[in-house]
Parts: sequence; structure tokens; C-alpha cells
Amino acid sequence: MRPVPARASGALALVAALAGCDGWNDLEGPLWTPEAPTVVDGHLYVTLDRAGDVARLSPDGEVRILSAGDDTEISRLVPSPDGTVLLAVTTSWRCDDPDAGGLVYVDECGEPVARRHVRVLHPEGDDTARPLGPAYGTFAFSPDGRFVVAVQDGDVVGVGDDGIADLGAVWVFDRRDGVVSELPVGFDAHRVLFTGGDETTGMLVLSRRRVALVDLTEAVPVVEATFPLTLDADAEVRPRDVVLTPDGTHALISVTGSSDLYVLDLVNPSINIVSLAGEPSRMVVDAARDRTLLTYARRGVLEILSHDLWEIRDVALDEGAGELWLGDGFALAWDPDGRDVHRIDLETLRVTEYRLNWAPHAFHVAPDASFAVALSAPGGAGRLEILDLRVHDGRYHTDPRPFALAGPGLDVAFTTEEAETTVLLLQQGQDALYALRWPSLARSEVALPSAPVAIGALDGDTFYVTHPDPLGLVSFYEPGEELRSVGGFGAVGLLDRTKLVVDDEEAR
Amino acid sequence: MIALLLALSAPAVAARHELSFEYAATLHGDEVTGDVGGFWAHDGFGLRGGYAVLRDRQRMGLVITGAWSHASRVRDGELFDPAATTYDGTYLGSLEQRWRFDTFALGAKADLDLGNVFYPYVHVQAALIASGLRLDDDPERPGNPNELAARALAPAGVFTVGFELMLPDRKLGWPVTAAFFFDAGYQVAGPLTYGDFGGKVDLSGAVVRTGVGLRM
Repeated sequence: MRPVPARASGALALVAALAGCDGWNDLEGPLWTPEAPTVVDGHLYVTLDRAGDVARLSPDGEVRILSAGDDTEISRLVPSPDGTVLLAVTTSWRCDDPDAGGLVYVDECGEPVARRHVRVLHPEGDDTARPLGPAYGTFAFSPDGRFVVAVQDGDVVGVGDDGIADLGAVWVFDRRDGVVSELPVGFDAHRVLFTGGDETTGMLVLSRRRVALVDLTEAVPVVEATFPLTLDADAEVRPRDVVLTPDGTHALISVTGSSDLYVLDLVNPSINIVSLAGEPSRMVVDAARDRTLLTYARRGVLEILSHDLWEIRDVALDEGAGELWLGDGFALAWDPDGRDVHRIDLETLRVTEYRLNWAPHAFHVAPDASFAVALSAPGGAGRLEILDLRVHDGRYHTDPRPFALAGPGLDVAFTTEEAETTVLLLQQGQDALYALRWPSLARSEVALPSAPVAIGALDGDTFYVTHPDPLGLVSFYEPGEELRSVGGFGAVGLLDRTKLVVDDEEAR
Repeated sequence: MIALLLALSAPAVAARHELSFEYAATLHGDEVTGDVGGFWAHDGFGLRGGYAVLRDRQRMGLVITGAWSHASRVRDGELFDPAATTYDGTYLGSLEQRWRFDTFALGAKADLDLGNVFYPYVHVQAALIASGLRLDDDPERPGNPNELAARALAPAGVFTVGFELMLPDRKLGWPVTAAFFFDAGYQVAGPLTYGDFGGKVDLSGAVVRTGVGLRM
């Protein structure tokens, strides 16, 4: 595959005109997914959806194609939180059609049966394909990177080879020992929280009507205790969110559609129920002060739950806040449907209200927490507002600095150089990367080869920008350096057809 | 009956040198071109030449042939997402495809002179198919970074049966005459793999050709 010289393109266009453009046809896509790249160890990984492979892109322009074989598709990437490990969920197919003799390709089989596996893509060296059941869709890495747990996300893809799928289990992969196990924990297990600090020793699994405490220190994980969330067989109780107290002795669990907060004692298994103002939108643990902050989308209150006596203290807000951000010494609460941004001093609980001019569709706090950026699109017009979060002689500048954009803001990233933080901004339909420095408000832009979709940090001061070009296009930006773009990787394997897996021991 | 006997008994000049302009169609039914390019057949034009090695007073003639044919397809593939839940979410962009097939063939044609007008024949060829595929996801912007190209080569064999209708040069006393031909048969081809684009395009299938030309 090579780029076409400009002169040849012109000659070819003439020939094509003589030959005639034959029309159009539908082509099933996408070829790749620009909205959701994965960053691992300074490289960008994107799935080549049609080819079933993965492209690894590097800032120096290198493109490397990772494939699991002609008969296997890589359908999903799962990175570890620290960005050092990358897992791939793969799918291979066999044909159960009784008239399937001699078939080679999946699209020739009337009844293909999918088999899923998990493989380690990075670091390289482990080629083992570990079986994964059809119902698992959401993955969680333990903080130490040792355990990977898959829970069911409701989209059951078939029932597997034996015609039965266990809907009450979780899948556990111990990367250190290479052991995979399925553990029954309850129907509709959908959320996992690891316990144990620096070295993971256990996990809480939230499923419908119960919470399971699992011991991960044994060779095979075992359920150490089960906390029923209701004794009424007719009651539907679905846990929504879970946080752990800083000492790891209690878990706080909110429930969908309920103002009850379940406090689970993990040392002496027991349940205490605390009544809240409503169903909380966000729960964030304030570890420095050993308490939990809760906000509500439809109630103008911030509740603070102490971890010693489980008592609640209310902080009044002007309007509901569905989002909560915790910084060093203060918290921010806002709602995507509202215009108020509340700054709450975590020591004094004093509330300072910032009033945005437009309801934000995105809200980002700078890494040094000196300012925040709100993106909005009133009537389709792009707007950006900057909130100054600094203290000026004991006072706050609560009026936001508003800016008009050429198009609705898509995404932002931050980079810091000397005393200034730069906001890198993408605008819809604009072929440029815009930079706005804080606090000087100096502006500049870098031309992009195509309209962008997303921006993110690769490592250090290197950023990636993805573009929606169907054949693949990613740009790498480093302040002070020339923009470098990598494209064409979406065409890899465009013409390939996925083969069927052939079992040596049984006929297809 | 008498006319046929007279025709068969007349001195025959079966094989002639030839130069023809040809239209050819291949009905291959390939799944890759069908899925990606939306076409299962292609047609085009070319040239065919022949050097007679058996001629003069032979009812059966043998011509060594050489031919080139060119076919192309320019398609605008509209990418859609089958998993999209909204109408606006289905369209993902378009992908211009320019497919090119050039067939270079060497063969032998054996014909039978029937009355200096009708010449049935069989034609066998060994061929080389040179193909190219160019992709562009932004054809409105020449020089964009996603103008891509790949090539492929594959051998092929072609067997056809057909006939020629010729203006009777002997009766008319012409050194050069005109002819029309039509033949049909089958092509067996090896797989075409387009570099990083991958694929195994199989152009085996029915072949139909027709054309006009000069006979000498």
C-alpha cells in the first residue's frame, strides 16, 4: 500500500471519466473508531473494526498492525488504569450449520457460533487465549494490575458452545498466576470495587439484590460473604454506585431509585442503612477528612456523611448538581442542565457560586485546579467559558470569562509550560487545534489535515488528535514541534473475509 | 444442399492474420468485489492480434493470438454503521474506489473455413491479470493523506468457443477484409491479493467477448 503521486491521480481521473463512474454501493463499516482510541505505554491503539485487527500508532509515524489471525477478530481493547497493560477481547467463529461442509468464510455460514477469548496484547510475550463467556461485556482492572474482572453488561451475545450461559457469575483473570475462573456471585452482577490498598486482596461485586465480598488471596477466588440488600423476595433492589471508606472497613452503596444508602461493614459483616435526601447522582470520598460527599441532580443540597458516626450534614446549594469534582481543599458541584457551579470549601463548607452564561455540555478542571473550562453550544453556536478558581486576597472572581468559538467545542486537553497552563481545544468542523493560555489568555492555532473528533494526552507533552476520515487519520502534536499525521491504516484488511475456525476433532 | 457441398469442396484459406477491437465481459461473482465494490462482473475494451501459422488451402486454420483488455470500475462506497440506532448515526462517510483490471493473454485459436464467410473456432489462452485498487476517502481534496493504492497479479487460463463472420475476401478479390467475432467460455484465475488491503479476489467465471476487426 502506497500513497498515489499527484500526477498519476490526474491521469487516472481522466481514464475514470472515460470509463465512467459506475455509481455507489453500501459498504458496511466502520473501518475504525476515531472516538475511542486507547493509550498504552506512549502508543495509540485503535481497533480496525472491519478487518478485525488493531493498529498501533506511534508519534514518529510508525504504524504496526496487530492481528490475532485470519480466523479471529479483535473486537475490543481493555487497557489497565496505569496504561501499561492492554488486553484484547477476540472473537472466532465456527459453523454449526449441518450443511456447512467445505465452507471457509464466516459470511458463508448460516448459523455461525461465536467463541470469545481474552489475550494480552501488551506487554508482548503472552500468547495464551483465555476463554471468555458470551455475556461478559464490562471489564475492571485492580489498582495493582494483577486482577482483571469481567461482569455482564446486559448484551448477551449468544450462549456459547454448550448452549448455556451463566448469568449469575463474574469472570476473574489472575494475570500473575495466569489463572482464569468463573465465580457465581448473583444475577446481574454489574459493578466491581477492589479492596486491599497497594496489593489487591479482595473485591466487592454488586449484583441485583445483593453484594458479594470475594477473597482474591486464595488460589481460586471464593465468596467470603454475601450481603443481601433486601429480605423481601418481591423487592427489586439494584445497587448503583459503591465507594470504600479510606480505612477499607466499610463500603457505601447507593441504590437505583432509592434514597437508602447501604453501609456494609466488611470486617464484621453487617448492614446499616442511612437515609439520604434522595438517590445520589455522585458519591466521592474525601479521604483527608474521612467522609463522603454526595450530590443530587434534582435537589439543591450537598450531603456530607461522616465515617465515624454515619451522620449527615447538609450544605445548601442554589440548584441541583449531578456532577462532583474533588480537589485539594475544595470541591466543585455542577449540573449539565444548569448554569450554577458551586465551589465548596472542604474545611469551612463555605459555598461560592459561579454563574455560567450557558448550560455546559462539557466541564473540565485544569490539572493545577486554578481554573475550569465550560463548553456549551446554545442554539448550535460554540461557546467557551473560563472560571477562575483562584483566591484573590480572600475573594473569588465569580464572573466567568466568556469566549465565542467558530464551532461547538468538541474536546479539550491541558498542557503546562512554565507558569502557564494551555487549553488545547477542538471545535466542530474546524480544521485546527486551538490553544488558549491561562492566565495570559494568549491565543494561537495549529492547522490540522482534517476536521477533528477527539484529543487526548499520549505521554508527557505529546497529544493525539483523531479525525473521522474513514481510512484512518491521527495527528500527533507536541508544543513547539511540527504536527505529524498518520493515515491510511483503516484500509488494512479492507478486502479480507473472516475465516471459520476449523476444529480438528469435529466436523464443521 | 448443393451450395453447401460446393462451399465445402471449394479451396479454403482458413487462417488469417488479424487485428481486432474487442469488448469483453467477465461474470466472476466474486464475494470481495461484490461486498466492497458492489459489483460481481466487469467489462471493458481491448485489442486482439493474431499471426496465422496455418493458411492457404487449409480448411482448418491455426492462429497464435495476443490480446490485451482493460476494465475498470469507479465506485463510491457509502460506509454505514449497521449498529447505529439513529438515522444520522448510520452514515460514516464515503470511500471512492477505483478498480482496474488489465488482462494480457497469449493463446492459440483453431478455426474452420465454411464458405469464406462463417468461421467457427475454439480459442485457448494463458493470461496474466494485473489489477490495481485506489482508495480515497476525500476525493474533493487532491493530495489528502488518504489517497492509497495497491496492486495485484494473478495468472489465468481462458477457454472460449465462438465464430467469426467475414466479408468474403476471395470472392471480392480483397487483400484485406473485415470480420465480426463473438465467443464465450470460461476463465480460471488465481487469487488477487492487494497488498495491505488484503483479500483474495477470484475472477474465475464466464467470459463473453465480441468485436470487429481486420483480417489479412
